[in-house]
Amino acid sequence: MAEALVSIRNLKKSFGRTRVLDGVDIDVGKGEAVVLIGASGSGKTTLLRCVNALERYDDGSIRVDGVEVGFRGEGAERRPRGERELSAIRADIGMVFQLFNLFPHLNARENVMLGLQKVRGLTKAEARERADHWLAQVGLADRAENYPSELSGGQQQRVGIARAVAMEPKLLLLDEITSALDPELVGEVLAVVRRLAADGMTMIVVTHEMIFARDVGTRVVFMDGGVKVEEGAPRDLLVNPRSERLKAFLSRLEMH
Amino acid sequence: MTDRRNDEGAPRRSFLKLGALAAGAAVASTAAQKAAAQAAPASTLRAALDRGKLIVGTGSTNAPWHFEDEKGQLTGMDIAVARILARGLFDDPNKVEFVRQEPAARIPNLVTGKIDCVIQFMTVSPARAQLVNFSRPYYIEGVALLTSSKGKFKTHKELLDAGAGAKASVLQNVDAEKLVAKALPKAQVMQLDTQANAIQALDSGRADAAVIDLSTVGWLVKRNPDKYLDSGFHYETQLYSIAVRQNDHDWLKFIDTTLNVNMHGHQTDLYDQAFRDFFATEPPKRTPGFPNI
Amino acid sequence: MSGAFAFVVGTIPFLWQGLLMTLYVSAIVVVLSVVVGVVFGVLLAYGPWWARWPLRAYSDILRGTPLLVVIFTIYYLLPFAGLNLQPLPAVLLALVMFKTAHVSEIARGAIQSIPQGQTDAAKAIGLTFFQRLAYVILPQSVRRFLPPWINSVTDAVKGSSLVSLVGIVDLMLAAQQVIGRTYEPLPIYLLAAAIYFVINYSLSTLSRRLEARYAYIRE
Repeated sequence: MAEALVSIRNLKKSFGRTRVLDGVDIDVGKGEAVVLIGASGSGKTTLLRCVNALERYDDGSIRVDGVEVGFRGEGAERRPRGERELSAIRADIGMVFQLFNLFPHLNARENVMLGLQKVRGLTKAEARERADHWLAQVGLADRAENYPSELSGGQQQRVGIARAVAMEPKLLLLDEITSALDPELVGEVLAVVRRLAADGMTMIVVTHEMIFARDVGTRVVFMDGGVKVEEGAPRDLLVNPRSERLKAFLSRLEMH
Repeated sequence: MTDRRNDEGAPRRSFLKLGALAAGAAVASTAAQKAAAQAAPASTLRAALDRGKLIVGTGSTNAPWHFEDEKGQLTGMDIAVARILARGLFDDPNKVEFVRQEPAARIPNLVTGKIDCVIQFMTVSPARAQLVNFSRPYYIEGVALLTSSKGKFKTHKELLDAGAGAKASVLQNVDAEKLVAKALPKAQVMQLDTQANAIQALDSGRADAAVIDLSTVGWLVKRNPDKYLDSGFHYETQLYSIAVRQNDHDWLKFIDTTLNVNMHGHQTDLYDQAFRDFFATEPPKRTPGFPNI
Repeated sequence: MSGAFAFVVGTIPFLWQGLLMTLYVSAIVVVLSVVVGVVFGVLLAYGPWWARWPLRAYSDILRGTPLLVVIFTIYYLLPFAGLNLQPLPAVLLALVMFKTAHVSEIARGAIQSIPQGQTDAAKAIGLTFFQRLAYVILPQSVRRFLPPWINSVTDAVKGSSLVSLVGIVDLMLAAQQVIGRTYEPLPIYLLAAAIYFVINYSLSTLSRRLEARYAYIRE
């Protein structure tokens, strides 16, 4: 088996005295879409934010494409990475946020172009071309010059996806990207993500939407209390949960 | 200006005075005195001679003492006295530089060495003499009542007779009421923050008389005889002297000597001309014989 | 009435130099305080503790001290520390230090009011710290920075009149000097007030234009 693109070992993190991640092991192979589910406080969002170093982790290891994310050096020589190194690592990991986090002072096209010009070093013309390509891919070619405040939630989120994907990342992190959307807008976003997964984008998805898990996911991981409790193929796990905790969690959710 | 009273007494000025007094008191204490002695040169006389010009702290907003003429040049009695000192030092009355300061900054600027002396209608008082040294007086100021040619009351007698029906404006000060009462025991008193505003009150008819410096009355009446009148009552005497730093004996002695020569000795031309220009008065005749200075 | 008008017009040459000094002092104070203040604001928002704590102390002390006292301290006490400045540089230093403390607080507040999500998104596309500041954080902060800052600028213009304390002839002292000669306070003060009004009105108009320019950043 090819080495996993993302390899998480014994990940530990505390906020103050609260242990949020208590030894998590997860592998994500290239082209896989791993869906993390669990109650609030289970640590899934924190885990995601550790993968692209938006949070620092205390102990354990996260390797993306063989590179340890949060630390450099081994054993006694282990040191937390500096900002500059982290910026370079983050450039290859894309993230889409629950609250979109589009840059309000830039229009849709400029939102997508910013990273291309400043991080990938493309010229303005090249960046514009690529931005327009991806905006078209998410169905927003005619909205390129609108500002975020002029777009609906679903449209903003699609711009957010275009912004992340235009950077051609090795890995895409999706943090509850439909939780803040009105139900009728969820579909358009889900359609984009489905296509990305079909095209082979490696992704880790944190979500409450079980349709995401079933439609997009190659593997579902259930987390509770800062640890991985169960994992397996979506149709197995969601239909035949084995652990008591997962059974309880699923019964509390409405299944679509 | 008679600065037993608070000149230009806007709130920030009283704060300034507080600040100035605090600064003065701090300097009077031993530790600060040492620092002040280090800040100022050993002898201001030597320092001024070496420098080639005199640095005098004075004001710029009070005629006929220190003000700007129509050409924007500083002039006035205080300025003339400064030029007298410059002539004494350099044979050239123009070798003087003026540092414009508010009355409350007189002592702080002197004591911190920013100026060689203060010539700014400074009233001699024992309290001040504990902080600075005063020269012999170069003028004795009085108080008078300015009246308007368009006013109800023009003479002191008319004001007196009006009793409580007369309104007098005066520069605000702790002793302002007492000062007015000495001239007009029953008049209503209106205290204002600057001398110019006290005169403005007279102009606008809100006051019947402005209780101000005798020299200012003379100045205004001479320049605007159809507008202003001297009601005729002159009182109070205050000594105006030059202030210098303590422990600066040669400088103090030099100033006293120069003033004596220019007021009573053989070089009275500058002083007499200033007397005529600014007080519209002939200086008294000097007589040889027994010294009465 | 024309006599009064001629009189007022005749005083303009005397007030002109004072006006130039007021504009000069205001300009220097505003420009220096905004440059240094924004840098301090960034340091206060993002800096290490050994930068933040001294800056915090500096900002708190100077904002809590009346401008008058700051000017006195610099003008009278600094010579004891060995630094003997001429009156104009001394009072400029005092004014700049005072205003910088205020501007740094305004800048810090504006920067910290930008939601964390913006920093997250900027980090997520791989921007370095300075890139995030330059392209994401500061451009958004401008909108929240401007209104309180323009207030601070009008304060700086008003505060410039305090240079007369150390004998610098600004518009206010020039006005008082004319009054000292002519004993006509009212028309002179009205003229000076009119001039200050024109200056501050221009500033508020500029401020409205700037705010309108950035109003498209609606959240």
